[in-house]
Amino acid sequence: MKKKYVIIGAGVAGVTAAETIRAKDPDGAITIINGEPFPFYFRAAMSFYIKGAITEDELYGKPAVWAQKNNIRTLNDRVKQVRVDNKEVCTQNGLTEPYDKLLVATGAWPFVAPWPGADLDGVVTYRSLTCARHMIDYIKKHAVKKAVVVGGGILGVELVEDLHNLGLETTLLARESRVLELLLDPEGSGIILDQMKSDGVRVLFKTELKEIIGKDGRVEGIVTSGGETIEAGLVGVAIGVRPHIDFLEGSGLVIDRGVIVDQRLNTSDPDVYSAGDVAVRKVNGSYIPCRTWLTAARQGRVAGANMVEGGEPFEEKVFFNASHAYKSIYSAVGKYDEPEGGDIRHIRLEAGKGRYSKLVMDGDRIIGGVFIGYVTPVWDVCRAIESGAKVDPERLAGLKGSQLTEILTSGPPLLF
Amino acid sequence: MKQSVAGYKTMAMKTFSTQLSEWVELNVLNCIGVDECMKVCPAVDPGLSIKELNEATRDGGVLTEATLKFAADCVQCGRCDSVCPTVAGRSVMMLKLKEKMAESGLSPESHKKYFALKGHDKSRIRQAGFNAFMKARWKFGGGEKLKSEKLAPHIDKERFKKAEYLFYFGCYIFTKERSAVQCVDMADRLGMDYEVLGGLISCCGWPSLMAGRTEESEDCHKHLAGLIDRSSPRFVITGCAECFMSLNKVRVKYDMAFEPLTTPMWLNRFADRLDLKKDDSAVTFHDSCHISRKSGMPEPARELLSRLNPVTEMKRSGPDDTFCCGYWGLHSNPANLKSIHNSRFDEAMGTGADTMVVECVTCLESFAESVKPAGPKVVDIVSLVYERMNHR
Ligand SMILES: Cc1cc2nc3c(=O)[nH]c(=O)nc-3n(C[C@H](O)[C@H](O)[C@H](O)COP(=O)(O)OP(=O)(O)OC[C@H]3O[C@@H](n4cnc5c(N)ncnc54)[C@H](O)[C@@H]3O)c2cc1C
Ligand code: SF4
Repeated sequence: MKKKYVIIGAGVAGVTAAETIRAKDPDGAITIINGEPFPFYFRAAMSFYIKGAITEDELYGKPAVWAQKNNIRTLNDRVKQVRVDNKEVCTQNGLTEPYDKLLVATGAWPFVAPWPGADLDGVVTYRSLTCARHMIDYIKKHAVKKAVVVGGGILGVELVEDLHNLGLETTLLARESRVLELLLDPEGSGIILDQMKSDGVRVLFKTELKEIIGKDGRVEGIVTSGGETIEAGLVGVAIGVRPHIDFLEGSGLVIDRGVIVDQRLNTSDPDVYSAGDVAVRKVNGSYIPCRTWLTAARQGRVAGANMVEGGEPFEEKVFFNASHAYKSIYSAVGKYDEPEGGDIRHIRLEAGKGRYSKLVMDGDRIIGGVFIGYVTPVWDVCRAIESGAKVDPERLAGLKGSQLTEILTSGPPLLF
Repeated sequence: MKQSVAGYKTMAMKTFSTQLSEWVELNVLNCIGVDECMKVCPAVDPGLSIKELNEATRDGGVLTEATLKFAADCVQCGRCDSVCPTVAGRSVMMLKLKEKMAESGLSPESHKKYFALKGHDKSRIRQAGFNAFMKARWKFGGGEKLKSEKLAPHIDKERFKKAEYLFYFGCYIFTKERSAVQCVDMADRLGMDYEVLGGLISCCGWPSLMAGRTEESEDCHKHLAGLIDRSSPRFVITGCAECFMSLNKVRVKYDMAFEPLTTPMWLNRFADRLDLKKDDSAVTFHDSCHISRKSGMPEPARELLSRLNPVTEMKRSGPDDTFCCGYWGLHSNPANLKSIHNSRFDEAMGTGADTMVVECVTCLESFAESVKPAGPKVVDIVSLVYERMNHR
């Protein structure tokens, strides 16, 4: 009998799972329930779309014929309930879909704190193409000239860049004492900050949002925790995301900061799997969220494989994050944020203007690294971390960042 | 060599082809479609979508006409790698695409020269067909006129003395007037302890790699490692950027103790004894993709040059911005190659210098095809040093 696979969410985790299932089970019936009015798109590339570097067609992650060609049914609908006892899901449009194997890949959604004025028009979040379009339309419609972004993390910085590209005078409020505190060390943050400042972006550190003020239901400005009033026609909120799990209430699945999964991405129910930003792996008592595009995709692949035949563990890899921060490309890998002291040393490599490269060493082993501007060596760094190969810190210190590839490669060098 | 060449592969080491497949599978997922790689690429036709490209590159993916053309045209310059925000290594993915091109037997005619000419297994030359074989005979080894007397005894020899320095000339040992001969002349004058390796059987494997024959290329590496080992050098010197890349790879792969040097790196070491004549006229410098960008070493050649002439930089130079001479690809449209050369010449002339120096014999050969009276002189850095050694 044909197996029925149902996937909730057409993000990268869901779509990669569908693709994997199809490769392993040519006859199975696959249904993706897509809560967005667009086919799968490169969520992490929205900035490039906003600034006009890629077209809408290029933003879509699969060719238009993909679903049809792979015999994948897609429903434009939202799941409102999962009944694991009956092995079925119920949707907003009133459908009841039975499944043999279910994947929850519903991602995450930006969190908006209950500030006074948070429900005014012009308070926006940034997660989906719908969000992006709404933001652009709103700016045009109300001829918005000034904006405030709340949150100095990667999404906040990205939003600042987008708003700057859209011609808005922007102020960033960061609770921390520097931008991208979670991703970069102070010097790395400084490089990004300098770029923002040279574009005229105002950045307020150790500052939180106290109140959003408005008139006739529309945003007109904000008041900071320091008591300053800042005029703004748009307020972008990027203070973190929460997993999309509201519809799982009462399902019986174990939820704790996300859908809890094991090493095989299996939830507390043997026929339900979860992958991507909605899932949280609990390993030896610690919670490991997904957070990045590549991890979501890799999880989708493993979950898809396990929905067909089970047994494939999600392989823990060295932490890898590479993206663009403001106008630079950057990458932070491994234990890039381990503070100096004891055997832990930070080794700066000469990198050149606007560039930055640093390795984090534990004795004579590399455990992490941060790169800005020039990121080519990062995979070699990851491999060096993975293999635990010994490296002479003295030799490293004399190197240019770009020479790392040559010295590090702990197997056959891959990047020729 | 800490580990015998024969012992290699008994380790759980994956073939390059397998590594490429794994790389592609991971990085097709990593790719977020921002198209940055394609925007800086000198080889791709506008309009080829990343989606199509990624699908074709994956295992089981079908090559389309456009992806095939691209596979043959890619020069492996690495511009794409340095602009990707997710570090998805497009140039490495392109090696997989080249491999698929070769496996499917769809390599364009113009591309066949790469596997016709070189490699230690001479049967390959025969496989390539009569015409290619004759051409190879003429170009490499057959035409006596091309050989230098000084280098002839070294061509394809298999016995080596132990020496501190090993000159690795690969297939460019067959050229009479240029770099290779000048290198050994200078080495003699400097009284260096050296040995020479070159010819068809010591191919660095790069042409095979470009032809998508990764296995053959690995085979070349293995053979090369064995040959180098016979001389147990401390330094291996080459004037070819592709040989340099391959040496780095061979060194790591077989855990060998030698240090690879480009010709400028070598000459800088002997700078005091070269007694170079300085000249006031400015020259400009064309970076090699494989040395400046991929190996991250834009300095040694500049350091050496600054001992000879003032250096003025072209608009696009250094590891970020330099671009490929086009030697290794761009077959489908020779006009494209010409226009790349011409724009580089214009840029060189724009600096006010009348000489554009290169540090790689491949760049030299590539540009030589388009040199014109109105353009800059294209000069190998080795020749320049050779001319200016005062005690000549
Ligand atoms: C602007 C932006 C930039 C980013 N940049 C980067 C980057 O550069 N690098 C990086 O690694 N990561 C980046 N990320 C993060 C990355 O995009 C996510 O980690 C990744 O998309 C997670 O994939 P996912 O499939 O788990 O979830 P999502 O992509 O969020 O997909 C989940 C889908 O499920 C849908 N859904 C939710 N609930 C339901 C329901 N009840 N019924 C039906 N459908 C539902 C959602 O609408 C959504 O379409 C960025 C994110 C954003 C927003
Ligand atoms: S290596 Fe150069 S030619 Fe090949 S894809 Fe990249 S940019 Fe294009």
